[in-house]
Amino acid sequence: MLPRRKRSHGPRLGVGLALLASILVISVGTPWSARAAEDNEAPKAAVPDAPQVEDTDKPKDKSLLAQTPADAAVAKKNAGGDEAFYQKWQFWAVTGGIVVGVVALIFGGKALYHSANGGDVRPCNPSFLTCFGQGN
Amino acid sequence: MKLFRFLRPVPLLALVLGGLASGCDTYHYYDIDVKFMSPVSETQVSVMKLCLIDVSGAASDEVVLPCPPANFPDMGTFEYSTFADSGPITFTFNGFYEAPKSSTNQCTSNMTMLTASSQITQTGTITVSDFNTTNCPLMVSGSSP
Repeated sequence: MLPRRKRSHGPRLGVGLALLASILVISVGTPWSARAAEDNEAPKAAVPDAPQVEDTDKPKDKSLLAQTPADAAVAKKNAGGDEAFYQKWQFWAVTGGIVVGVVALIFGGKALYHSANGGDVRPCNPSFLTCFGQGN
Repeated sequence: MKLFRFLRPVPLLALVLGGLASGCDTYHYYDIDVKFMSPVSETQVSVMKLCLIDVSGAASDEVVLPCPPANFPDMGTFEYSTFADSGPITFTFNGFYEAPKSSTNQCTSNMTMLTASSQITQTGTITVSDFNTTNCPLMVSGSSP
């Protein structure tokens, strides 16, 4: 007994594809088919007008509307600008500097004034009858 | 930087403070010893109830010393401080029989004069060598006949 031959679908598939290609070539290439395509188009007058509020300048290219790194930086800067002045570290740095400066100026000024006026008089010798004059 | 704009006046402030400091005063001290010398006796000194030191000349001041003096013949030393650093400065010891002071109850008046200079401490001595017994009679003890 001869072994059963395996059936091959290759020739049938090739014929099918060739037939489909022929139909497509005929339907696209003939003038009547093009006319039919033109006839199927809707009349231009039938296209509804765009509403007035529509932004006609809006670019069709979506890539132009995508955010760029520069846009992100500007947005971040604008977001930072909404902070109150007391929420900024610069405000507290300047305020702290002013407070420290004023306190140092007061104490330093007093010390300097005292020093400029002779400073402290030397202590009185306990064996003296008394000590008097300026600084006492 | 805009942040540190408030620091701009600092050099000017330092200049002003430095100028103030450059004109500073310095204390000068005068340690004066008061001594009694013959013919002034301890009995005479003991009748004084008001002892004053009068400062005149380069400085002006007055102070009361303990009276009558606890020590004899060296009453003790007092110290006078002043910023004066030039000119004559005179210390006068005036003893009075009682307060208030007046020319009619003054027992004694002696002085010493020093010259104020850059020297920080100067010493001097007031020697009390006269006593007015008319203004300051001795206290008589005992019972009268």
